[in-house]
Amino acid sequence: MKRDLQIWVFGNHRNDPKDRSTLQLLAKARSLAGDEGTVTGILVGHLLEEIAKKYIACGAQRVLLVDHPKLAFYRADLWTTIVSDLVREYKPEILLVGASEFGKELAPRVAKRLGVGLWIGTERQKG
Amino acid sequence: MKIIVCIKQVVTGDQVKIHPQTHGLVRTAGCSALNPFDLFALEMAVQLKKEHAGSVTVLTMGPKISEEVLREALAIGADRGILLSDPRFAASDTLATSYVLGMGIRKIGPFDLILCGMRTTDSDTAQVGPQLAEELDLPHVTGVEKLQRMKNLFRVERVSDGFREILEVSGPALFTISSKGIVHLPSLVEIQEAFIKYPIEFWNLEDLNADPAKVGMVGSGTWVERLIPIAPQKSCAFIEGDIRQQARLLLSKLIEKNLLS
Repeated sequence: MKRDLQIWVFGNHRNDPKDRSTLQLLAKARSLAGDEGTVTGILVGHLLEEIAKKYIACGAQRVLLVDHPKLAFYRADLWTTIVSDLVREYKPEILLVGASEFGKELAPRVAKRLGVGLWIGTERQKG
Repeated sequence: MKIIVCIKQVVTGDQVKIHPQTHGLVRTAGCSALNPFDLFALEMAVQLKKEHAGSVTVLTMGPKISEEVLREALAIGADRGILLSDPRFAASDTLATSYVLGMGIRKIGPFDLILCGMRTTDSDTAQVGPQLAEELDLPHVTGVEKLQRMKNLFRVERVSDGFREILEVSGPALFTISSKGIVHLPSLVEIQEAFIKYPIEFWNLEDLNADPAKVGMVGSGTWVERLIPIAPQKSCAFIEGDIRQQARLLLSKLIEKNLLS
């Protein structure tokens, strides 16, 4: 596997700070990426700068923030388009999505649009 | 209203066999059943048919024995059963499965609504519903509890990550149905009729005009490297002695296993 892995973590911010799964994923991504890889958090929504800072503090080297008042509420169709377009443009090797209910609604559709494999309920990954 | 329900024959019981080459599950009649989560989608479809008139078509992809679950769906109230079956479809992951189901639905023609179960009891990915919606370029909502039809709109209600959401979705659309509802089981007469009255239609790769490079293992984005059945490990120990000794021994065992802190 490539050494300078680009790992993305989808920022599931709706239940922040109660739901800490994104922070846990960022930590997992950080250890997968090693010294040469980079971890990017993806945030889609409105007024999320505080959360972006938290992601940086928890292991992301970079956060891509898509901010618009129309993105105040989660919508699987809009989010699919935004996340897929970002992945096509920046071409990360791995996108990690927390298995929240929204994550499970979004991730399969993104994988299908990109024509890539998706494994759900992942507990351990092998390098 | 034309409704299509996608169902799956799942592997049940603890006699699961794993194919030595594909590492997939071997599906045989003895250890297969209709995915229980699909019952809720079927129930919703049959209720909508009663309210709005129309038809319910059930669709599944699988080996020939999957005909059984289509019969079961017919007994519950579906009108037409279609089995997408071809040896080349074997070992399809969700990406390839959603393609095959999508091609089947294109062949069926115009529809108002596609319903799926929320997940399956065997592979449990909950991916095929959303991926089928993407394949057919339809809006989708997962885990729907209530569904109302309003002209060209569907108003749906569900709970997602602790929020009750009420959404309006333009049709045609795909919904996966929550398992919080109630299902009714068919009577013996209905089961008997389902085996006598209706023919099941079998469509293969050529019937669907499907691209062989997009189905089966070659059309999949994931491959199973290894599959290890986990045998549930239970052990039983008897504690001997008088009542005090038994209590002391039980206490020490609980502390030893870190069950009391």
